[in-house]
Amino acid sequence: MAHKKRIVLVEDNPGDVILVRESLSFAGIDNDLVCFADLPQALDAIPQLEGTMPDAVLLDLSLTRGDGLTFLQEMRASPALQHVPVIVLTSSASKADREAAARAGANAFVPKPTQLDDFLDQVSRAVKAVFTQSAGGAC
Amino acid sequence: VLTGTAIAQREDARTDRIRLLLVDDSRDNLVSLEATLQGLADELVCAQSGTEVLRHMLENDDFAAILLDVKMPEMDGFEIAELIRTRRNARHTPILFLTAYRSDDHLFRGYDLGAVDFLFKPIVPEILRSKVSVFIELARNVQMLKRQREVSVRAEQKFRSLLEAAPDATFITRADGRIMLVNTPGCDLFGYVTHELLDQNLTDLIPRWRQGSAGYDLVAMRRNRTEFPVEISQSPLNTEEGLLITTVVRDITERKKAEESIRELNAELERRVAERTAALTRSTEALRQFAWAASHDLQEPLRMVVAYSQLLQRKSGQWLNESATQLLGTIVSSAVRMEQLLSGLREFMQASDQNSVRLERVDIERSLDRALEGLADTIASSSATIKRGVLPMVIGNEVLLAQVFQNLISNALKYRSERPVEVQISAETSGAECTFSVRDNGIGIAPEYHERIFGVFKRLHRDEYPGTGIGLAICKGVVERLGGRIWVESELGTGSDFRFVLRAAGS
Repeated sequence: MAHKKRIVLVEDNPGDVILVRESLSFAGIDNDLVCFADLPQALDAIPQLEGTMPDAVLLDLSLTRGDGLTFLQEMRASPALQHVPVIVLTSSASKADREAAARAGANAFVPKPTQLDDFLDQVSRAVKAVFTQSAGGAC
Repeated sequence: VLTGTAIAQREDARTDRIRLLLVDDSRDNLVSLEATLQGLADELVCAQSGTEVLRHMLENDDFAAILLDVKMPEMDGFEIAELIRTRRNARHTPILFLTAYRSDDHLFRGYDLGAVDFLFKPIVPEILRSKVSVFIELARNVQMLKRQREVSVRAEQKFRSLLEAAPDATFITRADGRIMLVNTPGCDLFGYVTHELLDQNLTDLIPRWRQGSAGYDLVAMRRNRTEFPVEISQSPLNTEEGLLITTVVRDITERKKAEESIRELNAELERRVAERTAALTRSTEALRQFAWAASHDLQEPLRMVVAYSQLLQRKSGQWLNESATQLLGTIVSSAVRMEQLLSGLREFMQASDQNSVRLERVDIERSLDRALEGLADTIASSSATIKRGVLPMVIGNEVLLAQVFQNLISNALKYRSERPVEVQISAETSGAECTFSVRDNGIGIAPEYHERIFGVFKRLHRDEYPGTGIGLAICKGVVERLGGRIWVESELGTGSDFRFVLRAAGS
């Protein structure tokens, strides 16, 4: 197998950062996780990300210092990053949020479940799914 | 104690009697006079001396006529006549002198004393009777006239005292408005004295009013040219002097003021109610936003409690003994429960949010379809029989009403008795309202809980049955938001009938 998966996580809740790490290891994905704790930090990092080209981005929508969708839109506006799979994580699972995320170009939408098992299961499944898709696309 | 009227009647009775005074020193003469005059007068009073005359006079000096013998010892007839004339009432009483002598001296003296006639002895009874009867007739006529005058004077007095006693300004006018009579309140109201008002026209006092027009909301003018609001009422009075009109003028300044202040108070009250309502709406909205935000923000830390307890269990499970695992399990289940309550609260707030609901004609059958679809598994697993009647079109919201049905039916399935579950959904329309019924044969609800169960987080069976205690609160929120009402009719052990009323959509 090739390199470690370069995964970017934009998440301001440290608790969720740990849960996402758990999910990735639960999924058996060998990864390099880069975390941004708020929106300005993440936006500033876009040029750098264009250089390193992440394999996937996990993006929390409700950030204390801004709307996660802004980051998604910036990515989609960048020629280098526009095809990087993005999984949106959110604690508010309203239909409107889901639609807005889809319009902005999210590949998957995962409401953060309360139960740990569900969380591990859903996040790891979403990540695996985007990798399978992008792997399929590469063939 | 005699009242005024009683005294007047007694006086009437006294003056009604026609009395004759017969004066002669001879007892025999008196007896023959009495015999002659029998039946002419009501009362014959006899006297044999001046002293006796005086005594009778003092008692009652009202006589129709006096027959006076001229020749008497002690005091003669002329002297007695002089005495009689000193009595005010008897000053003009006709006196007939009876005398045996024709003497010019007697005649002059007699006429000088106001004698009306002389009769010479021996007396011819027929002549005496006829002369006396003339005086008696005269006295009767005088009496009648006097009585009539008294009656009319009393009537006028009564009328004037009534007019005077009237609390309102009262005017008696001719048909053209000329003032004939006015009472003191009338003078006071306009600032005049009585004689200044007589013969003035009432329309001078109430300038913009014309005889015969409506008497409301008029403006009257005082003597000093100041104006004030009045109201008048009139009644016609047909008299021998022609048509007279009684006009009552009422000063309505106070009433106008009172009306005005009531209007102001009402306006003020309305303004305050509006203000309070707005304040209440603002604070309700603020509270609502707060509750919403709180229920939202509390969810995040709770999620962490659940996930981290489980993470701890997962990672360190092998080092935890059984009791520690149990404790951790309680943490998780409590947090999960709280999370459910919060999400129920949010659901309730969404369901009862007064804003943003679209009211439309709804085929409520479709709401019921949705609800039954959502409950299909539960219905199947509890082998419940669902009976549904024909439901009418209503004004409401399909999705919200589906939620009402779903909550009610799911309660019916949950709070079942030993009997096979049976739920009946029906409706009846009456006028502009439809009443829906969701009836079950479950455990029922005691009357004291019929109100309380619709409150948020109110649960009757905390331990036996799962649930958040928000379902009925949501139903109530939705139904009220749609302008209806909801209640339960139930008996313990028999079942419950949840009923709600909505506006009918018409045809």
